[in-house]
Amino acid sequence: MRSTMNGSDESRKRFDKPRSVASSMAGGSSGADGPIRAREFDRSLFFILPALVLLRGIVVLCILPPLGAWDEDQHIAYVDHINRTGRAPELGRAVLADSLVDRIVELPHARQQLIQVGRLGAIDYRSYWEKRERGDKPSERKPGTIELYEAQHGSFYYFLSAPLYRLAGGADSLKNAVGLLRFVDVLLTAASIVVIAWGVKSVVRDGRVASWIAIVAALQPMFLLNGARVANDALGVFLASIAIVLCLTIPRSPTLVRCLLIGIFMGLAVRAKAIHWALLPFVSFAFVAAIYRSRAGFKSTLICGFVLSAAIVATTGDEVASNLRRFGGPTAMQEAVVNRAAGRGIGDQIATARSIDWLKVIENHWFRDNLLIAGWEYYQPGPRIKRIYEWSLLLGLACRLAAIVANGSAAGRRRRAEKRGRDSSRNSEIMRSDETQPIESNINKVACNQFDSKLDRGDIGGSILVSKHVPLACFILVLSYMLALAYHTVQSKLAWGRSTTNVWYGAAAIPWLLLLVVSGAAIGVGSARRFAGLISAALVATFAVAESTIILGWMSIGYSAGARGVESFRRLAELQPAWLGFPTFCCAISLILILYSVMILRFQSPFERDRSGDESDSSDSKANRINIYYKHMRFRFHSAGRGRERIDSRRVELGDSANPGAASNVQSYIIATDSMNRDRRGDRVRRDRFILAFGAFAFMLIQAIAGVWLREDPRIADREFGIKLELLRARIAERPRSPLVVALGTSRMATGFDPAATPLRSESNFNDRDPLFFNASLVGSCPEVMNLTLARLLARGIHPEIAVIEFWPPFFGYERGVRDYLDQTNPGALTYRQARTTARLLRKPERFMKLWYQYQAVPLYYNRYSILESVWPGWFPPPDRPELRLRSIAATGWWKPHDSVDPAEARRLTDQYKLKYEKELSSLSIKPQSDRALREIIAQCRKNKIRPLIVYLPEGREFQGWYSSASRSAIERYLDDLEATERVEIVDARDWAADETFLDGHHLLPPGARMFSQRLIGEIVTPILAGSPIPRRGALARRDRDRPR
Amino acid sequence: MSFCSQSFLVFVVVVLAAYWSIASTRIRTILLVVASFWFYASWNVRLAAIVLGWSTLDFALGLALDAPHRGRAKRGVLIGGIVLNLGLLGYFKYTGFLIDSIAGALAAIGLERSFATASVLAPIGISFFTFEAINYLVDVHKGKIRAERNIFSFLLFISFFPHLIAGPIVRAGDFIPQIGRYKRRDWSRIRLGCEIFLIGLFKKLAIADRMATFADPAFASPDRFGSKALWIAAIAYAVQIYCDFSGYTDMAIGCAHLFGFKLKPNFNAPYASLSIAEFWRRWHISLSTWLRDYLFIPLGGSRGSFFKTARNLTITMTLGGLWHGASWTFVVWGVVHGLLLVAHRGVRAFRSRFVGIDRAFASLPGIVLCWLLTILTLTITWIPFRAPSFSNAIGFLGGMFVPRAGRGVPLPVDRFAILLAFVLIEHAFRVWKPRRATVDRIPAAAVGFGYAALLSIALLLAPSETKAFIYFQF
Repeated sequence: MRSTMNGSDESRKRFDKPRSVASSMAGGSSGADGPIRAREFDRSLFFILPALVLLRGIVVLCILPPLGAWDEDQHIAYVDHINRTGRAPELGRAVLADSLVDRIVELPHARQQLIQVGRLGAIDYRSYWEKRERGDKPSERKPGTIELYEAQHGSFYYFLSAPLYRLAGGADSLKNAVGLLRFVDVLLTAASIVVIAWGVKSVVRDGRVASWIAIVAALQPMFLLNGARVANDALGVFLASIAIVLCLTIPRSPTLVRCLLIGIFMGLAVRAKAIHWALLPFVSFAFVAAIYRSRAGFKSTLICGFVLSAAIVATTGDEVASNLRRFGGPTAMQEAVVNRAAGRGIGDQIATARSIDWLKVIENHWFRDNLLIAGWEYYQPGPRIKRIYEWSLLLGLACRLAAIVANGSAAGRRRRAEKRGRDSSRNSEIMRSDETQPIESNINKVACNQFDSKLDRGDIGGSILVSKHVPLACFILVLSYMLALAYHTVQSKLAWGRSTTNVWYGAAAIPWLLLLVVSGAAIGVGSARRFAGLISAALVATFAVAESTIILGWMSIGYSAGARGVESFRRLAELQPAWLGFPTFCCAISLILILYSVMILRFQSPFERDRSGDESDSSDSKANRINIYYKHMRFRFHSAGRGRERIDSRRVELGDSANPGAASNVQSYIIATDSMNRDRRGDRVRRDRFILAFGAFAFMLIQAIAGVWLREDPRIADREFGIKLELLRARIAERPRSPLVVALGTSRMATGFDPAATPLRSESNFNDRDPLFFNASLVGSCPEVMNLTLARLLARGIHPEIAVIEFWPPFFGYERGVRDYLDQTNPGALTYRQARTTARLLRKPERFMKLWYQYQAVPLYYNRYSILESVWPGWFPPPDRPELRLRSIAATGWWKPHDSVDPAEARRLTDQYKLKYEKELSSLSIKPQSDRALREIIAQCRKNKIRPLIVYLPEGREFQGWYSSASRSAIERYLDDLEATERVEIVDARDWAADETFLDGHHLLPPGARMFSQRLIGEIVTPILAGSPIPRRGALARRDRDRPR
Repeated sequence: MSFCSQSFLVFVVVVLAAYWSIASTRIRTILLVVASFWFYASWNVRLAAIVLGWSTLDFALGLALDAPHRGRAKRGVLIGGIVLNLGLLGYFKYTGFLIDSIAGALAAIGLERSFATASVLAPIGISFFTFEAINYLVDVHKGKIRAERNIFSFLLFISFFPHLIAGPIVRAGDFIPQIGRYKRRDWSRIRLGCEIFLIGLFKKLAIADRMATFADPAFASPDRFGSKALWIAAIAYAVQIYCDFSGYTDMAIGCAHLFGFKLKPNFNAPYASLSIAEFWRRWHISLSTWLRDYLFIPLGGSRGSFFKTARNLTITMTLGGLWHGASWTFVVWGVVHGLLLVAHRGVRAFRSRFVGIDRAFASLPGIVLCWLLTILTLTITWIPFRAPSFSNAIGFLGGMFVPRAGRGVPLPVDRFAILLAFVLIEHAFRVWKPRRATVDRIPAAAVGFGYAALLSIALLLAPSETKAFIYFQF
């Protein structure tokens, strides 16, 4: 075949770049020519990826409380044991030291972990934070011991960690020690990524695809989570990764040093964690494949094999011998030891294996759960995310399989073609055909011929990997770990009755599984490579979503017992050493964002067409292939020289490969410059596309940041609630132990309930058991908004004992549309859950949710008024500015609008409200919307152990006269029903205030507010808090009606 | 469906996706025609139908003009076409104005008569597409272009939605050849389109509508405001109308780029002009060139004596003023500009005679003086353009020039200064165009972030309710 190329081989050799490690590796189908590297591996990834792993690890460390990761207490106990005794613990005999258990019990734990440590007095996160808020001691140590079952592991990691543990303060400073050991493990994980990236770069021909694989591997969340905890896993994965990379990059023939290194690293990995025995089949295959490729002699094979085996034996031998002696098996795997001790043999294992649904197990272990499982709480992403992950993996693997089949048939075709000697006539065939191609010169046709030959040989768009043995080796590696996990599944099910195999055991194989997936998707040229980009992008997006929702979302909420936003991070910081506090978290997050931006900037879009495949959408198009070929040759010019010399080189290249007479200087120059211009334009297009993509990304980022800011600081987007929240927090800070009584209602409650008018004692003379009253009513707040206010208070960790809820009949007489809510609350300041809860209560929930989505999508636009007024006022004319009433809110949340009102003004206001309410109240019937909302408030109170108290606020006699008797009886019937069905106290205070104490017949003036508040607190709230019964609604109402006003 | 609305964003994205997923130029053209009429029908379906019928008529007239007739017949067709177009324009736009004016004139001489006036709803953008149709017919008649044989191409020329409502007034010779050309999806062009669109959006939302906060109250009741507030309102209106109209034009040009069409620029830093004549070379270029080519030159242009040129200029500018709207304030504005152009010609002739004076004008103080004079003149002439009535305009001008106390500026003056600074920067960039190589040196991420920041600021500064574009009424 090559004989037909008219000496082009020689010229190719002359202009080819020096062959890379990848291309110089043994085997492969590349033949003498190096592969056309579409783009070199981006070396900045060697810095960016480990830095990203490190920073993401730090974020995990800031969120995951000490001992919150799987078996962390056990691993710490192992280190502690070595620290105290200087010896490794013995499985079955060793227990956790008392001094350590004391510290462990002091910390909160996940419910799963309480199975082990709960009996010693440890409590879960919710109880811990509730007790902390009350000021109680969180936990009491109870007598008892815990077996140190992690003594099953080799002591290699633990001996290395003991000095660090001691340095950090040991058990006495447990948080610090855990933090330091975790940090070292994260460093090891980052180092593993460097090794893996180097390995990937070496075995993947196309630099861009290699970069994708490295990025995907580095961003895989499970790989990080496995490393960001105190355990032997990080070290094991690091050592195993070195061994794997050394195997995959064996040069033409294995050298003694490499065999020695492989043996040592594999042995050390096994010593770190026995699961890495799974490396043995992979290492064996890699060794045999290298021998086969290099056709090494028997003697050298024997020597290398001996060195490899000796290195493995030397590093693992003593441990294996000790395990055989003590436990009867090569490893001290707890489950196997238990089974052996119980006399369960191979027959039992087979029977157990047959009872397992292997397809499901493999699917869960390798395609679903190994996306992300976080901590002892086993936080996992939703099924949709998992499905995307699974399908991405399966799609990539299917492509890899297809590539193997296609490569096989292509090889057969090539062999047959060579046999027939078809290549000898190729030049003439092409000369005759392609009359319609845009470039008609002979030189192009010959170039096309040359390119076709390359394509046929698989140099262009053929195998992505340097050798056909690489995917096979990776398959074997993944399969070995799969079998290892399967072995553990069988043993654990046999020992405990259920499988306790966890997905992170096979973490070392995850990057190589991803290599198979992404490289599988990258077979072929042009659009096929973009498909690999699509798969990579899908994986990266899945990882990002899973990681952000689980780690930043569920974990932070779960470990802080439902606290949100800054409050949750404040709680988490209390559990961490000082250096892993909120500032560290913020810095890490900022740096992560910067690194992501840098990575995007450097790497641009994974969908971007690479240089060689730039115009190869239809890879069969000969014109396109000619272009690719020219571009490829232009690369050679750059490496060959500049200016004139470059053009000369091109002429020589073309002249050598084609008919020398046809390839004139002018033609060569035109083609070369044309090609360069196209490339320059390509660069501009790439830049412009990146600008657009980055602009869209930056816009979304700005909006997302604004959205979070608005949610976290309601003073901006929801001013009245924000101001009241701030005041309430200040009150709670003054009196943290006092039971809290919060009033929720409309402007009537806001003006009518003055918490300072407490009859109990003065504010300066309170004790801890005196209730703290706060008026959290918002103007215009309908029951749905009251429900929302209560939910928002609870979400911010404010937990009242009693909620005083206003009953305002006019709200029950009509159903509100979505627009009505915009005056009362700002959808942009709500979380998704709060929005859903509110929407559920509305007639058209989808409209409210649509509005919420709009507010979330462009919060800067929808909240521009609030933002500008808060940040940079003066952009809106005065009538648009917030009401001045917000300034007259007292520290107790009470809104004091007027001291007094002259009768004429009172008359005017009453008449004004008469127009508004008289008709409404004369034909009032209870509508389901407000009823649902009120019942929802009561349900929310019950769920959170808050006592609801419904109050029918005072009304003037004239106002009461606007109700028709039918309306009045409808209200009475409704309240009776509410009282009976919800078992809730209802206070009828309509007649509690004299007419002259009203501003307008239904809003109380300060004297009326004082009187009403004193009575409400003295007669109702205080007895409730004291556990005494309160008078029934009917009795109260009757009594008040009889009382002279 | 305003350019600043969410529905327009969705509309453009959908049409764009469909447009680039279609390979055939013919189908793309049909798609754009359908989309354009859909866009127009979002205001009023009936008016969209009228525009469709009107355009079809112009298409037929074009074919008739291109047919091998004798000269006189062709001329008849042309005159018929122009009369038809102007007649329809007059009917829809000026009927009410004409009747009111007649009634007013009769009332002035003591013959008060009440006329039954039917309220005629004018199609939006009528002034723009009428002029486009006229330039098409004239160019076909003159043989500058061939009549378009494909009705969809012609309909697209008239109704292409980015320029349909408020221009720029496109020339058939520029636009129709672009329709038939096969367009490849070009990210550079799409990026350019997005950039121009964003700049336009920023001008409209962040500057024009905000400047309206300073201008609107003062123009609504000038008697209540003090001199300072009126001066600021006058400058604010000058900025508002520039940012509003050029913002719209930028959005139209940007939008056209997204579909692979190039519309000619309509503004070129008009407030950097040193004379009224230069202002008209930089302001609403598509209209001023149209008036020049199809009105001023046919009237005789500047070939005759000074007085003939002055007459032609005054007529052209008066009709240009009337084109803007059916009101005497616009006519006066046009007349004033015509007279100013005549005056400028006179001054220029005078300057050319005296080398010393010419040099003084060319010196830096002279340039600054010219610029200040031009800006002052423009600011003052915008007042009758904006004022709802003559009495209002006179009151406004009186308040400006006779110092008096009154209400202050509605918002802090520093906000006004910030917005003004944006316009000055924009003008500076347009006058001293940065080199392409310099722009390319800015990191791509910084440019992308700049776009995001521009859009975010525009959205943040958008007023409570986005105002309609001023030129929609024309």
